[in-house]
Amino acid sequence: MSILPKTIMLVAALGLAACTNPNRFGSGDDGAGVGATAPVPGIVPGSADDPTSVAHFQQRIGDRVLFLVDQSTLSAEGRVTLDRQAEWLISNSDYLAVIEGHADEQGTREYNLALGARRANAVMEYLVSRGVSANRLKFVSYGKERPLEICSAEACYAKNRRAVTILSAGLSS
Amino acid sequence: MQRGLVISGGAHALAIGWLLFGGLFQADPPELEVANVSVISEAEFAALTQPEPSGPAPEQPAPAPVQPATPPEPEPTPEPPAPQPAPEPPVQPEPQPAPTPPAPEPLPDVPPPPQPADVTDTPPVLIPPEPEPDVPPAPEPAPLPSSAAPTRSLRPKPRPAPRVAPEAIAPPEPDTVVAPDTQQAASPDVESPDVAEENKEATAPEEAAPEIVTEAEDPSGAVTKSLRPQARPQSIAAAAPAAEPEPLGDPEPDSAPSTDDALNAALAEALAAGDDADAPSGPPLTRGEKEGLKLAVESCWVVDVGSQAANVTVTLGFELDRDGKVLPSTLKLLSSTGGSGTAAEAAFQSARRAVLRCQNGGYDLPVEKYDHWKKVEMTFDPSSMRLR
Amino acid sequence: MQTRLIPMLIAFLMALLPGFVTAQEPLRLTLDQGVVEPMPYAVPNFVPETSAAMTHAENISRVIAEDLTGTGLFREIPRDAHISGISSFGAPVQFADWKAVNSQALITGAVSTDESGRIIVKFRVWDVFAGQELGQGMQFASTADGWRRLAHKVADQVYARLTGETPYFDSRVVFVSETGPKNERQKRLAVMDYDGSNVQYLTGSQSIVLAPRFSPGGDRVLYTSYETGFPRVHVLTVGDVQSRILQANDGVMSFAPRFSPDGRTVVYSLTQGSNTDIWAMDVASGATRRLSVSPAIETAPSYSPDGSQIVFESDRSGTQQLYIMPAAGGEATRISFGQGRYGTPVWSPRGDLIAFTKQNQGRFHIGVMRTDGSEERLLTASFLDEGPTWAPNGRVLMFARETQGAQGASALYSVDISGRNLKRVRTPAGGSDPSWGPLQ
Repeated sequence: MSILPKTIMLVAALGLAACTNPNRFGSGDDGAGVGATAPVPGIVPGSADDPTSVAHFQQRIGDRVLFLVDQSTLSAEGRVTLDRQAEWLISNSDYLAVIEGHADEQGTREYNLALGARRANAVMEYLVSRGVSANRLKFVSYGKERPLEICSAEACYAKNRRAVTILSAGLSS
Repeated sequence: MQRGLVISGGAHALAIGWLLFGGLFQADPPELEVANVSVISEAEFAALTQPEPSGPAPEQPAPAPVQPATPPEPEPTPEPPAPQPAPEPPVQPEPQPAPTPPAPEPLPDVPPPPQPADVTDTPPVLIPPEPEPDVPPAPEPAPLPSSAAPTRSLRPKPRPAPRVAPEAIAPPEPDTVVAPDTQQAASPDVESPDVAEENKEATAPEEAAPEIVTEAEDPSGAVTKSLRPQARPQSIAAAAPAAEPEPLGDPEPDSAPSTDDALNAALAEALAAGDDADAPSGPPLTRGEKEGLKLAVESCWVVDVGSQAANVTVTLGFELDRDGKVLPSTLKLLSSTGGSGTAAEAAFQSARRAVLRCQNGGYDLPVEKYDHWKKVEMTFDPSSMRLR
Repeated sequence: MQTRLIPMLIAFLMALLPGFVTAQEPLRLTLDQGVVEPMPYAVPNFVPETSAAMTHAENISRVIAEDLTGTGLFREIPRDAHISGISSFGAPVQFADWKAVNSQALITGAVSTDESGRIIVKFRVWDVFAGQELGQGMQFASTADGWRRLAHKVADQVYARLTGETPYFDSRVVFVSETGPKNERQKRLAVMDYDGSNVQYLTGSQSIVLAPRFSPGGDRVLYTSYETGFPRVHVLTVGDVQSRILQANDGVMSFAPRFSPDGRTVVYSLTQGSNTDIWAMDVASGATRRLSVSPAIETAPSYSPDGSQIVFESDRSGTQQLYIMPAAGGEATRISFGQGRYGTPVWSPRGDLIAFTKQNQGRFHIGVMRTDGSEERLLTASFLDEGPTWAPNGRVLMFARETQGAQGASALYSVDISGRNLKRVRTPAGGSDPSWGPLQ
């Protein structure tokens, strides 16, 4: 596998991401800056210090909330994160978001897909309740297909039971 | 805004390009190859299975009549209405490099041939017994041990063994030869041409568990000593399936009448048996004697517990000669209940194998009671063995 | 005179009497405890009848033996223990020699090739102890690359004659081929022979694919793909490897598809909001209908073989459990009541059993129960077993087993419904989500 096809795939995927959905599951370091608009003078555009950047959303606001085993109810801590997310989304109205729901590996494939959907939907409904327009949001579940941590222990499972808000640049009209 | 458009436009162009040319970088799923297999009719088969001359075979052998292989008369009789014109297997253009792979070819059903093509059924030629090679069965892989940490189990579970038999049998000592069948000591006077017994070593019964042990029931991967069945056969004889609480002694003990019972027995005998000097029929078989026969056959009765045949109860009838050997021509299926035709057939075959296989030199039955065991009706009921 | 005659007459009659009665009652015995063990059989190398058939003869007899021994129901007598060989297909069988090595069944055969390179294999099956043939001789032909299928066909015949059951060796399995670590698993759809050979890929690995399901005829495959960014049910034609989206509503997820026994309807799960329900789609018209109406998760539907009922999993009780409802939807009856959680139910082709995945106390099991939920039996136990699929004859289950930890990988396993003969299916890469196709 040479670099060329990978590069093309990456760029193409990011291009598609602009209209549908990103296809990445890392800790959120990649993809920063794409679609970032309106840089504030004096701050490196797209860096975490740029309050309008994706990196800022991911690192300072917090792009994910975690769940208990087989649960989709939001924790108090999760709600705090989501309050900040809602605020950011309202003030950065060019962005769309897809909420990805995930489950740990301790479950059957189909059930985990549905469980991930419940979690993502819980996040989406909360953001809407905080004033984010529903037509800027979508959710999708990956079930247990894309764990973040790969150990088979509760320490990893806890991080894998998550819903991550993935930003994408909206084509404002 | 502008920038967003440019980025998105560019990315879309790339995406489209990727869709168009992505194939360059992504291996296309290779085409599916499905092998073409065809079935040839019984008639053609029969023709092909005739002992063939070594010359070039006729191109398309006409369906020859099915014929028992009696060497002379190679005269092909004018063909009777051919059983079935063989649906000629579709000839396929051979190497087909076309990108569209061939769809799976539906196979014509195997035609149930109307006539058995019985070409080789000559009776087995009796050959003097040859020294028999030892046949140590390859040790079979035990069920995979589970990888997780052992969990505690309160009651000892049988360890999984490839053989499941009514009684648990511990693994044999390392140096004993495991015989496929437990065999009794060869009696010197057996001269069955079929069974070469001379060279057999004393054998231990094959390791067996009293029930099927699945992985789920296996408390841990590691086999701990406490799980092993404690009992170890004291001797070969004790472990032999025919050995019974009531050993089959020499002719006398049971048949020696002493008291009133004897008188009654004698009376009954006088009434029943009369003067058939040829067939001395002593008193009925004792429970132990019956049990011995039952156990002897059971030890050869292989039940496939997961099969439909395990739902079938069959009754076999057969006759024994005075040596306790089955007269093969008398062995027939008397009845079967509980399964489809093929399942019943399989159950019958399994029962038949049990009866034939475990007779060795003849079932051990008291000859003076021959009248009582000349004819046997044996019912094979696997219902208690069925999977729970 | 007269008075003396009567006793004589009686005596005479009594002497005659035994002639009738002595036709002694047969000895009647009932056997109820047999043994469970593999049946020993022999398959001496098939006789090559043309020089070009030499390798095929060897290979075909080996695959036949692998098929039969692989069931756990049969044990091959090693060839070096054979007393007599089979030098020609027509020669009489020396039953005594096969009895002496305790071979209960014997398979003889021959392989030839014709001018066009086709292979022809013929065979017979013998009951050694009864000294007779089981069924009749038969013959199959194929192109040279189909030699494995030829062997499977012969083994299928032997299996059917010895067990009385329909066979399954000449069948294929569609599954997800997996490579890479857990957090970057590359997944591709693939098909293989039931024994893991002849793997062929149906998709690339650019998007996640899940849970392929063969159609009853084996000509189509349903699966879930993230190609659009959302899990959607796709259908793929096996012949030309073309696929299309079956369920394309925007903004919703569809997954866990399965065909009805007549192949005309697809049941699947559809997620709307937080709710996942079971829907059915008429494949020809695309018309859909909702079958379950509950705020809980309803998924993993599977039809009964007669198409009248659907078994599925739901967490409406608070945990995942199994339920049965009419195929048209309606009242569902819970059938699983044991400890733990039950998922991925699959109705057996025989109709009598339902296989499932069970999670209990941190372990996963593959198990079977009757359709009323009784007689539950767990067949396996491991860190993670899931997704059973039935062999076409309902005798064997294949499933995926994932190993624990960062290096964990998924592989396919099979197990007899008795719980015996658990073994790994040899595939070139990792595997999951098997779906066993029909007998070809």
